[in-house]
Amino acid sequence: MSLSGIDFFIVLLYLGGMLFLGSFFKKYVHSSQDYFLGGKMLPFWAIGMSIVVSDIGAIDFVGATGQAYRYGLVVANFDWIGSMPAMMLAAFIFIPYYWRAGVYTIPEYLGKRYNDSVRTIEALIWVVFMAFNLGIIFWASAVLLNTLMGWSIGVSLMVTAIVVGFYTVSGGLSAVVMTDVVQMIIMFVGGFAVIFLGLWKLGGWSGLVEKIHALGPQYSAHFTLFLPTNTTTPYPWTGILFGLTFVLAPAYFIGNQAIVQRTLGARDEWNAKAGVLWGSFFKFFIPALIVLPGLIALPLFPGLTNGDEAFPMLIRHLLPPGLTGLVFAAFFAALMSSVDSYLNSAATLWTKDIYQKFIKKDADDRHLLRMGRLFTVVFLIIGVATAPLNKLFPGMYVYVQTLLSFFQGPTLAILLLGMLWSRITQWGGLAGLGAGVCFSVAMYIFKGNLFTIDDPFLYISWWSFLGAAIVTVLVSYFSSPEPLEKLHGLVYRLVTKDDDVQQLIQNRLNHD
Amino acid sequence: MLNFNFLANVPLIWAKVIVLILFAVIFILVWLLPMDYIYKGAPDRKLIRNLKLWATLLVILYGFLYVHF
Repeated sequence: MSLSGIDFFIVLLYLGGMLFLGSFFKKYVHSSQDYFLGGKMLPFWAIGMSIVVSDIGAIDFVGATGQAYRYGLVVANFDWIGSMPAMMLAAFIFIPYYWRAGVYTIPEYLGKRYNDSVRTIEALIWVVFMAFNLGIIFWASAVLLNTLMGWSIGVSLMVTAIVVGFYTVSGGLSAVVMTDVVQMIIMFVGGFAVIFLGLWKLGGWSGLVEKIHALGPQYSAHFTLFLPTNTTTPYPWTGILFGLTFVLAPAYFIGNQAIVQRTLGARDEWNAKAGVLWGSFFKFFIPALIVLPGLIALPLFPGLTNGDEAFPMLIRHLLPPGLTGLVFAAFFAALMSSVDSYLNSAATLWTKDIYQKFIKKDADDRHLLRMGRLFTVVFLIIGVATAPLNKLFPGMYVYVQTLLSFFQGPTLAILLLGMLWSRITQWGGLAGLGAGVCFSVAMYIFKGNLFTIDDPFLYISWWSFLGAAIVTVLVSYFSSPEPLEKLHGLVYRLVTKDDDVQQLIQNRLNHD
Repeated sequence: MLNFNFLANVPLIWAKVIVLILFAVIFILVWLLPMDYIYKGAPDRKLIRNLKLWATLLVILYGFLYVHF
């Protein structure tokens, strides 16, 4: 499809604005803390909006819309029941303790709570995942830009990499978070323009419901949030509840570095907690942007063999000139907000958990700042260089997501138990992590024999979480308890006086 | 068992009930937290900074969705 002049102008204006805004924050970066944690000055409203927009990528606009086209409103569970309870848990239990512990990364917390082996395993998993995911995001977005805007794959890759790389390298987390705020506003304006025009064409919400039900009995469950256990879709209610609500969502909101890092940069503990709750408020509206368009596309373009065509079809046939440019800007915003978050977080993990820990232990702060910027560039290059691999291996996205899912349940198990129970030991955590990953891999290999649905990732995450938790508890009981002074400030309610906590943290930092 | 077959005969409405009970538990647990913990780091103790009220609003919003759909 071709863009009109006004559309191109809007897209270019957006890209230029992002470059300007992002580079503005360069003058505030003087130390590694400024670069990785935004100088610990971030306000709650920016943290919340950044969390939400980092979670929604350009792929979601197409992929989630396609899923909604096929399966209906059940997909919205990923942003509703799959966010609010987990974000409450994060805001009121985990984030305050991460923030008080003064850590830069989740593996760093795990290293303090358990041992360096757990820290290193977790850091390497996340670095590898983020590096490959960058390539996947770059490739998927370049293909979409090629389809939608007619740009060549190479131009699409370069434009995205240069703009995002420039402001992420120069401004660090502050630039990432503040550009995320603007990107979220653009995403919401562009997204709501699509659903407003779509609903207007279909005669409002009641018209949408009526027209989808008129398509046939196979669409009768398109407006329900829960599907029976014998559904052929990947979303039975038991999977949504046990796999998504109890495991994947908490693992994401308390264990994903790209999400948690914003809260660690909060100006104080209240802003850290409030930021997560503020993000949960905006999560309420996300299905309107990425699920509702799929439902709107169903009666407008019934019979699409590939649901992922739903969103491009809406853009092509629904939007007038000017608004098309705005939606493209929203698409860019979704793409860039994910890339900048992964870049910054991958560089933070590598610098703090691998480079400073194993390669240059005596590095001073200026050196770490330089290395942080250098590693951001390196990850950017890795992302762009590995992007074409997706053409050679089309199933790469699934493989990488599957690889991460092996670790989600076990990681949540050791995070939860480690935070809430002082009796859990370092050997329990290490054994639980290892055993949980083995459970996941075994269940994935034998999924055809064990499960009745095609893609049982929700069930696998639940059972691997449970297996990891049992092993963690059992091994902890057979090993010596951790000394209390090691656990102070790292386990919920172990220390009630904040002055004591700060003193213990200071002692520990001096010791490290 | 891995497929939760033992829950196959549970009416679908119970999924909603379980979710609403979960929301109610969250609401209660949040209100049990000490006020010092809630306001820790806040510049003042104005009502607008009471995160228990923020959490309550969220529980109501999301609860409405799961009652309606």
